[in-house]
Amino acid sequence: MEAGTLVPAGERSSALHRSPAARLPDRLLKWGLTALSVGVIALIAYFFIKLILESRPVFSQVGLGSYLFSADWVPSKQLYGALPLLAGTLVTSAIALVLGIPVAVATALYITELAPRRIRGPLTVVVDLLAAVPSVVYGLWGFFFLIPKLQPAERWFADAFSFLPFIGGNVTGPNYFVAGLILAIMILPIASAISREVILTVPREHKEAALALGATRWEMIRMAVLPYARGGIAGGAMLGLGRAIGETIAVTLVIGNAPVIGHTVFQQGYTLAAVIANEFGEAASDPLHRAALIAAGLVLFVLTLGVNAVARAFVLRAERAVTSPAGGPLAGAGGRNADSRMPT
Amino acid sequence: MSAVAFAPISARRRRVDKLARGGVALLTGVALVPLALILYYLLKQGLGAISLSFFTTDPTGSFLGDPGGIKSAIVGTLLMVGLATAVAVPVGVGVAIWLVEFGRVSKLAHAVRYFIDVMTGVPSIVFGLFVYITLVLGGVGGSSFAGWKGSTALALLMLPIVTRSAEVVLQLVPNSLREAAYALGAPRWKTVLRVVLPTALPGIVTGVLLAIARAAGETAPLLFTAAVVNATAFNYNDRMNSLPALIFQNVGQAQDRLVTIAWGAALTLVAMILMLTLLARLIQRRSRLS
Amino acid sequence: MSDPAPHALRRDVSLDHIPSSEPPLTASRPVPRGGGAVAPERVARAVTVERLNAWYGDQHSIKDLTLSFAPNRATALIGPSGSGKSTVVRCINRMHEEIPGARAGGRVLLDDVDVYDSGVDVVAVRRSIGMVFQKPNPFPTMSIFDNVAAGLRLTSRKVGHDQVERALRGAGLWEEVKDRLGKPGVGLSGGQQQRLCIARALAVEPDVLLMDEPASALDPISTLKIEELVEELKRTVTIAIVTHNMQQAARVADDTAFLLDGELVEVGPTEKIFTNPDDSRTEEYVTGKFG
Repeated sequence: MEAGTLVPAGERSSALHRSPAARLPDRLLKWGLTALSVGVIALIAYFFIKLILESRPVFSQVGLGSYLFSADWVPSKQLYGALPLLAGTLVTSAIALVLGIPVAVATALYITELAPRRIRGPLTVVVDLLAAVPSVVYGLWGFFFLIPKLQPAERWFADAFSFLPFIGGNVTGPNYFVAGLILAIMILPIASAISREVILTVPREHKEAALALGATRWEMIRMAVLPYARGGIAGGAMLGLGRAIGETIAVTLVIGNAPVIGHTVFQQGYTLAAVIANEFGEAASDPLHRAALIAAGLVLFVLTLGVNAVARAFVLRAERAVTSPAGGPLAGAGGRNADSRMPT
Repeated sequence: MSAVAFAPISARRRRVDKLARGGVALLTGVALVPLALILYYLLKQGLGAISLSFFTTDPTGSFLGDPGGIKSAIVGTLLMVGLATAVAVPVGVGVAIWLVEFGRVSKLAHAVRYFIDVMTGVPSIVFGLFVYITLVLGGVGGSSFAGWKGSTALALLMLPIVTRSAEVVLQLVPNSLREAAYALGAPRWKTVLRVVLPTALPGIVTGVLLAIARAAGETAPLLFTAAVVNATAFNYNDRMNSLPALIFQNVGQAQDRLVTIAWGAALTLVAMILMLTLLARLIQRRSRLS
Repeated sequence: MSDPAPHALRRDVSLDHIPSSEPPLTASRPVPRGGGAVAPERVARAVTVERLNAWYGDQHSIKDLTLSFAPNRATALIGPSGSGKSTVVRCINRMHEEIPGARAGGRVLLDDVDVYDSGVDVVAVRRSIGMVFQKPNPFPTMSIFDNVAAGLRLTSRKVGHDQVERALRGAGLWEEVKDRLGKPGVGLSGGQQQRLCIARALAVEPDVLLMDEPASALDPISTLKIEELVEELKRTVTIAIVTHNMQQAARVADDTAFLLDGELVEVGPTEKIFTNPDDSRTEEYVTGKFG
């Protein structure tokens, strides 16, 4: 820091009061940045209001209840029932959670508690690398690789377990399951990163207490680590859910885009996000259709707002001593190693 | 005294311990499989498309004959992400500075943080919708779809990422540095610009790089803001192509050659993103602020 | 059975005025009351540390240490900070090796079985050798009952109410918590939490109880309660207690070992160590010249 240019000679020996002119840059900075920050709030609020306004035509035509709960989405007949879209969004997200969260927690546990020290760093990098793949590439890979490769297995599963609900029957190429699977892969890195953060905050003394009672390594994890970390892990799962709900491109490429509610997980469906991406071209000339799509966007926005609010509540409660926001770009970097303290 | 051996732990407990740990390791291995498969397929299907002409010719859009290359997509991605960065970084860092230096724990700062948090959860397609409603429908700027409108959507996407990471880094700058500057009589704005920002710079750059990597891969916001077009466009007011949009467009095509283009473009895109990500982590590792 | 050490140095302070809400601990157990002698209720095991060496990475922390802990007695380890007292104790129940980069060599015999023997399961060792830590660490997500039962649940699905009660009585906590066993363990005061941890360790009926500065984080009254407890616990377990407080060692321990820089300087009956030690370094430490 060059003090010479930081505080020029003239200023140093001047009187204790600075002239208004000298104070101006400070004020400019403060008020400029304040305006910027307030502007961000105003912008989001504005967008939200605009969303509502632009979707009003379809609500006045169809009614909010009917829009949300009627099952017929046929734009050519001016029928806009978003239930298949909602169902598809929820089903694929649920599959993503069921498949993805256990794996995410397992990777977090393995990396923090069980893996040999030397591979922890590289393993973390590799798991986080999944987040670097853009969603269109996931869709590309899902379309050309996953769908054809999984079909035989799906058919076998559907036949073998047809007694289970939502299994059995016809198996189409693109379907809810493949979409859910791809979503599971996509939410893996963030759920794993947050779980890792939280598991690292488990105080060493609880783990030692469990070990000193004569617990095996796994018993120690069950007694001391998982109960302590479960709030944060749940928060990470919810953040993953929010991500899965809003995911568009990968899903639209593998779900079949059929505006129906499939009877089994191996059938085609549609989601709120996919319908927007798909039908925008056609809707350009049809204002009502456009409004219906914007309304789908509004529902999507509200859903993710809700899920993320719940997620935040979980994560904030579990954060305590952690200073970096969980899930931000710096999460997981330079992870604390609570084990390196030595007893006196 | 009898030589009593320790009561060994039950076989069941041993088994559970081994199974559980094995299961966790197995699931971790499972998590790595998709990444390996994707990289494998990208290389297997995409390398065949790579050539010099691949990068230097525009897609022709014809179903028969030569499908062309991806030049317009690369140019479009660079231009649009570039503009988005030029907007998102000053605004994002500005908000972060305000949060750390001025707003701190005030109610307004709380609200700003909350809204930024909200923004991180907004699906990217909804950002596209925002821009569509406000800029495209209204025909702002004299055109419907335009590159700069796509940039706007991307900038909205990048803003919370930049702000969040910048805020974290700025908070890590030790207060003693600020105090040293004030003690010398430096005004607030100089302290921020000459002391705080330079110290936090590597961390901010890391966050920016990661935001760029994210924006470069986004398709949904561009679909109805910048649209898809084949010719290379340098005018921001025109429609612009982009790598993600091109890939998306070509996925459903029946033509093998178009599909190969898609894979080649995907490989290019992933390579770009990986480089940005690795660069970001490198910078992060070399600067130890905490 | 060896003679209990003379009580000459202990308990100048009469504890009668400190309200104790529970009946004398002996009420539930028929034990012959001798004058000052502590008759063991259960014959505990002896611990013999033989030529123990311990490292933290490259730092050689315990050097060729040999020390015995007589059964049904309390042995205190004293010494300045960094002398290795905690490390020795953590080597006894093989907790030392849980620290990354740490290792130990030598023998630690429980009666005549070496805990470091390759055929011995470390999990089984820790079941027989219990530990109480410096900072009370009840499991935060568990109730008082579940905390005490935690160790028992590792080996059997059903944990009897009576087992938990016995352990809590043994820790001198039963009367205070018997009406709120379902409440969270962390809701108790510091001293109570530490006694909860003692109960948790006692529940699995170990032969040895290692106490690593168990009262250093507690207020004086809780400290005295813990010290009282040590006297009672000798009936069922062999106790090794690490303490930086010499008065505490004088109050509770039958034997005292003085460690300096990872080496055993001197060990002997507590009275001797504090009034007439053999080694001049011991004398300097106990008279407060350093440490």
